[in-house]
Amino acid sequence: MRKINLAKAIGAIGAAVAGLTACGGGGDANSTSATSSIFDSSPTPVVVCPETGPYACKSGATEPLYKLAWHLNAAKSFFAAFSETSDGKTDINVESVHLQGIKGAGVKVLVLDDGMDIAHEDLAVNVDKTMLANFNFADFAHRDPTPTDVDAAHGTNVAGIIAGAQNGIGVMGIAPRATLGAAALIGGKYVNIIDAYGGADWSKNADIISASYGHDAKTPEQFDAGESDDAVALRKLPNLRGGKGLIFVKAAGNEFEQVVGKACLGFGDLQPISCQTTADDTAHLEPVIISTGAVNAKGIKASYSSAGAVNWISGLGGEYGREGQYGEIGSGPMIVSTDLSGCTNGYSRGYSAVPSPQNQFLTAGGATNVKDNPKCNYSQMNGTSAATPTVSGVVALMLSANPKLTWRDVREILRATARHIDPTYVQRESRNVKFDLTTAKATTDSSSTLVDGDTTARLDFGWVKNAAGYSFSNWYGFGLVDAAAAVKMAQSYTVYKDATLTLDAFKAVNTTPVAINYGHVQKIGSFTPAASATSSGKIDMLQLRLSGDVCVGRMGFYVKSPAGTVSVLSTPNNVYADTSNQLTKYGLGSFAFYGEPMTGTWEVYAVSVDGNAHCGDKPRGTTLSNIEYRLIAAK
Amino acid sequence: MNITFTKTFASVVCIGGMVTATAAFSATDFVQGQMLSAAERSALKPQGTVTIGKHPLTIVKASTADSLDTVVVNSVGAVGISKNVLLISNVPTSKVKTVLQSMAVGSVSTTYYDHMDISRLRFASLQAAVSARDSLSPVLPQATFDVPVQYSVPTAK
Repeated sequence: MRKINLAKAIGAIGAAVAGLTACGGGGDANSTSATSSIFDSSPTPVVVCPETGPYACKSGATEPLYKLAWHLNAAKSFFAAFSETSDGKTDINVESVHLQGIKGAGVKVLVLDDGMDIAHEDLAVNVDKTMLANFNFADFAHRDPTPTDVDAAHGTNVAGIIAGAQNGIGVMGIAPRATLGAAALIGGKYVNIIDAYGGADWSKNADIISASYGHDAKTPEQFDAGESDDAVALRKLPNLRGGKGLIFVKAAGNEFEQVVGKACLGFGDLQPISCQTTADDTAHLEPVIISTGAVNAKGIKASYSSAGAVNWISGLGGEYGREGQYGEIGSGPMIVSTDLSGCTNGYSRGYSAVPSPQNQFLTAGGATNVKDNPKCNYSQMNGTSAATPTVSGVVALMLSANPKLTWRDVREILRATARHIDPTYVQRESRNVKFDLTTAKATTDSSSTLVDGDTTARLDFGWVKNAAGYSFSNWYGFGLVDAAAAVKMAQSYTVYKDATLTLDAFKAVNTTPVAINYGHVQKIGSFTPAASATSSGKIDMLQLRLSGDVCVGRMGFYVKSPAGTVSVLSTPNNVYADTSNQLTKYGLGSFAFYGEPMTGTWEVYAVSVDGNAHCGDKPRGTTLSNIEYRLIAAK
Repeated sequence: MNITFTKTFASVVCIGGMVTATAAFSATDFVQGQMLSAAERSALKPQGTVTIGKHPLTIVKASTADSLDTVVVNSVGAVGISKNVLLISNVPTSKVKTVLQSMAVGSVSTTYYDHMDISRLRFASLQAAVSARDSLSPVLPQATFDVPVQYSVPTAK
């Protein structure tokens, strides 16, 4: 078990509200020992717990499937014994928070997904029936989001990861006392995004939206061009929660290695690069979105997790978990959670053929399944879909500890407390060198320079510490979420950030069209923003928007800040290779400069590959007609 | 959208959970997100054009009493769907209400989201939504106008 941090425990107890019930002991053996050790020398030991009942201030060890919940406690999990797939220490670091009795009470989490089994034995107690909707029906008399499709267990798994109840059966969520709402949105014929994103009576009282879905555009979509309902709604989230802002946690995507139905080229010696960058789903360009990548049980990026400069944080999503009793063999385990109830529904109803057998826990009727999951009410899930609710659960704990936090505070705390995992991944993955932009071969040049006119370039800079002192990575955002550290910071947080969101219009980088010199690093423009008397002078997010006749799939776009930080907003040979020769207001963004001064000269670069004179069935376009930028100020 | 995973696999391994991506609209000729070839585009029988943002959109299937969806093809051949909605944001809904009391724009339904400063007007056709945007924008110069068109559907991650 992860050692209890004594300083954290003492701080938490100090923050406990008056009049709390004394804990009756019990709970996790190690935690009791650790807590006792704090007070052995104290003349007046007062151990208080804000909860009552049999599970007060106890960890998830009260639940039968706890041994599979490596995301809650890696060291105690079944998987810790399998070093090929688990490091035995990577978890969400939440147990000390649970032992304080902070479990999400008073926080409402809305799961937007393919529905949720609201009668599930491990969810029902937390469901608020006024926070339900089903977009498969035009008539809102049909509010129950319980899926009728036996495959539609995705949202039920998401809900269990967030707020599976602590009740001595099944699993426990990260915030087991949070309130759950849900809407069947994915695949819904009658979706109204404004309703879903806080506009309707059933959604407007949510504190958090957990969104484990995304869009896979086939061509670059316009950004901020008058045709998005997502952007309209998301920009109004700061109005909600009494003006503190609704927190929106969203999956970064699973398109690192492939996009369904589409091959990705990779880059010669570097296979793969991220096939799709997170910003290709334009919702991720909205600064209110907390874009969440996935980490596996070995403490490194999950194989599928999309990279991108707009990723804010990483949660735990696991790997494919197909083999062994519980997924301990092969790529590594998934995240255990609630499934659609019954052995004829959901992911645990039993699969045997495609594309390979599932693990025994998921196979209805098998010995392991009968022993551990006899009613097939539990299953496992992976993806940034699974990582997202791990972060949503942590945010629920933070808001339970301090309801005054604004959406900016939540983002900031997640950033400030995130763990910088896998510090040398670019070396491990041989990404720490420049690549030839014509041959796609790796060079021996490991410098990080970006030089106009060069024919070689880095495609990944790994962890980069910016001029504000913040480390950022396109793989991990600001790092892996740390529940204990985030809650501790939330408890002591007293100076709250402004929740209002103001977006200036895009401004032109160039005044004349730019001819693209394929196969080169090419500085395509620069800009020097005017100092604003009203802003902090520090940057929150950079956005870029591009239009023209170019083969965008063969191009990457990089930005260098006045302080010299370089961010890779997209890489060449991306998902749009050979499919698009026309670009209209294609949006990209970056948080890599977060906290740096906005003033000074910013430089925009295209990094393109050569070797194909065509883009799809047309001659390759050569001109960027418009390059625009927007700097969003930090508050 | 082409699906490479089987439905069964997709539902277990969530990152393959793209089965929902097949959510097709009612038209049988086009699928949302589909990319039309040059030949397919030249064979289209347009039922009108509108411009949203910088994109000229060709209407290839107008909404009907049975389907509120208007199917469009943009300038690069991507198939999108509009629900004939006009969103007016960044001005109080009370201001929009006042304007609409003196100016008929022909919406078939209107929803005001007072707490978000969003007004949602739905029309019988995409042309009517765009026409209303063009009529209202000079009257509400502080407002932001959007006519949503979706070129892809949300899929499970």
